[in-house]
Amino acid sequence: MSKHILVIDDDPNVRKSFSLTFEDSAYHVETAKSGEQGVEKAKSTRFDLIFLDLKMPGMNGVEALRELRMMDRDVPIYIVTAFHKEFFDQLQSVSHDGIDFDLLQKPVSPEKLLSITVGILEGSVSIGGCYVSN
Amino acid sequence: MYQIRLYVAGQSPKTIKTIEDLKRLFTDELDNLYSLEIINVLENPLAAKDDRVLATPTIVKLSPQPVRRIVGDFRDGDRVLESLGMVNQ
Repeated sequence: MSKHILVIDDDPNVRKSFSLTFEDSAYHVETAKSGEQGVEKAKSTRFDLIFLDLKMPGMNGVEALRELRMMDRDVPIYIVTAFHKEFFDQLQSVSHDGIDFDLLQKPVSPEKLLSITVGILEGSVSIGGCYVSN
Repeated sequence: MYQIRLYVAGQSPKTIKTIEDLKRLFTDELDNLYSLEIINVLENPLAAKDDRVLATPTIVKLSPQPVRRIVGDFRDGDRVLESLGMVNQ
């Protein structure tokens, strides 16, 4: 049975990009255009992985994360965000509350997204190849 | 001597367990010949950028070279060692 991924993002281009990335993969993708809709979908379907945008109108990523964690303690939830300290203040607060989440840097190429997803769902994978540093 | 960095997001119980499991794995399998630096991306996003980290958790094996990075679920210790090129070295 294929694994189910939920993508929660208010940007239709991002939702489309995720859907296209996994189109020919072993994974089934559902999308939600808001935190509220994502939480509703998670009430009726057990997802194996959730990608969650941080900045959304209405219920933002942090609020959605708290709701999703109350329903499911174990599903991997990846906050999709740029790696800037200014975006992390609210996440620090969530972390101090012991709520589990991980981070995916935005933007990410379809190839890297697919590799990272395989690593999350199937076990660790090498990414970016190996190289000799100076 | 292996030089390893582990990038994590925050300090949830699951993250703390991941750190403990990896320390146990490296201690057992690398004969304790390693240094492990834990970096919280929430506190130090620039370090993550410098090491080209795209997601958490990520392990970066800096030395011996070549540098390798792995992402994902680290519960399978054998797979972690193999992905990092630490098998039969």
